[in-house]
Amino acid sequence: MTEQIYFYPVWIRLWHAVNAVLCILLILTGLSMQYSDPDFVLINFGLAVSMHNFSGIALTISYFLFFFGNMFTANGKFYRLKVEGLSIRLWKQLRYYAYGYFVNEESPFPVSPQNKFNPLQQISYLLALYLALPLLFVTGWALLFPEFIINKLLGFSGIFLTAQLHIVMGFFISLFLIIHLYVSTMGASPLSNFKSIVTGWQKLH
Amino acid sequence: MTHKNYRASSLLLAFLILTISLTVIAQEDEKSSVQSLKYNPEDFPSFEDNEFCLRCHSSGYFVLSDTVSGLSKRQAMCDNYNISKDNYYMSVHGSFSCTDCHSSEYQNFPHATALRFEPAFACLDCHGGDENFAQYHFEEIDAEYANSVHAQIENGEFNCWKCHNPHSYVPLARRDTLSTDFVVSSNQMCLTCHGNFEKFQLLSDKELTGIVEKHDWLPNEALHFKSVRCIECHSAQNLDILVSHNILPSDSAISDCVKCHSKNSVLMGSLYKFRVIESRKSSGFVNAAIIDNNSYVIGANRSEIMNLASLLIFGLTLFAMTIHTLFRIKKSKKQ
Repeated sequence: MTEQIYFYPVWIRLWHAVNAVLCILLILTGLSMQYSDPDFVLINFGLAVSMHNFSGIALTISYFLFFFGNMFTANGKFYRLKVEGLSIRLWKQLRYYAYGYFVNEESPFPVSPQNKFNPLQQISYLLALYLALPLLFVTGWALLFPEFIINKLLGFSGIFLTAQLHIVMGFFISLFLIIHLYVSTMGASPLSNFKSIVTGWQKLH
Repeated sequence: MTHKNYRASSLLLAFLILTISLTVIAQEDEKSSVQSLKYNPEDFPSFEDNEFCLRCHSSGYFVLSDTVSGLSKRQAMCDNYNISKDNYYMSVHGSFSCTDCHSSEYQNFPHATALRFEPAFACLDCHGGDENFAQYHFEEIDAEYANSVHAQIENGEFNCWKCHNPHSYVPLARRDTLSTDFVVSSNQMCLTCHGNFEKFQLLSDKELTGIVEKHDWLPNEALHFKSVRCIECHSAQNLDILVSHNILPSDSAISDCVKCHSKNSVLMGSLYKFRVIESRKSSGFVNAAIIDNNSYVIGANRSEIMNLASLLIFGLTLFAMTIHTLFRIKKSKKQ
């Protein structure tokens, strides 16, 4: 029988579910606004704006729950990056995904209660959750209250630069989501990781 | 130095300092009042003649005298008849003498009631058919206006001057820098009547509805008011003239966000038209004229380079995932 460990406490699963729904809504409404076209309406523009604003505000609240949750629970330790030997660990994991996985090598960083993320996961989660998302929040809230945005920065319109940074970060989060979904299919079975984030129990493989 | 001499010297010194300070302040005041003028009176040959009219019509009051009793008193000048000298001399009509357009009988005071019925010049009376003004397309503007809701006003009281004050008019839409001030001054034309019941009722018996309440469907309403002109949505676009004058009935106004928030934004044919015609700047962004104006319109500003880069990154990611999946399928078949 495959060994299972209780990996995802209720608060993380709830946060993850809320986060997933809100991120998908934000990406779809964001794309719909950025590429709005009278001849091809993905989501009505006014509705997309309202949904994007609402989801953005809700995601900010959800993010703070995650941020403080990580600060005050043991889950935070998985996000502490050890810089020493990082490049070697990243290379090992990358090599495993590109080659070792196909020749049945042992995973260099198997999942364990002490080691929830492999180095690639850890760095991508850190970049997404502690860099891209905060930048999205700052720029998104600024665009909600554009009167607080400085008029000019380095010769460019402040509102334009804020919007561009928001779009670029939104793009990286969309890319992260796609890669995240794909890598999630690489568990014990293609659907096992999806089941884990629902039940909390992770199959070890 | 004795104590008395010391006190006297101190007083003298204080007096000198005070005198010098007051003189400097007075000079500064004089200098600043001269500097505050936005025009040089010597550039305007009619300046002295106009002063006869403007001493009342720019001061906010006039002096009413009764020749029988010899009494006189100051009366407030109605706002409609007050002219800002700064605005007038900076305007396109600033070189004119008052009596070029108004009867010389206005030089008599109190003005005769009959003068109030004197027909005012309309734009075409001076500018119609004049090759020097061909670029402004006055005839087309007049034809557009004839189709607008303003021309339908029953009592026929509407004319060019209701929107364009001849004493302060400057062609802001033709200036290279489209600032927020430009939008504000354009919208102020509309709000003069549409935001002021007293003015509105002079022209219409309709009920004046609240502008803010009526536009509360706009996301970020205040930003829209600050960044775009009323006519962007409330007039029919005409690509032959710079500013559309065919004001539409309110139920025909643009209410589809995507008309502006899209690659083919109507703003490029209205608010940014002059900038587009003059500069046609290409900075890698679709509708770069909006960016050059320190603005950002969601859906209308798209970078072709960024679109390409994002498609390339997405494409490569999907390609890598597809290859990876194929190898995974191959591996699972072997097992």
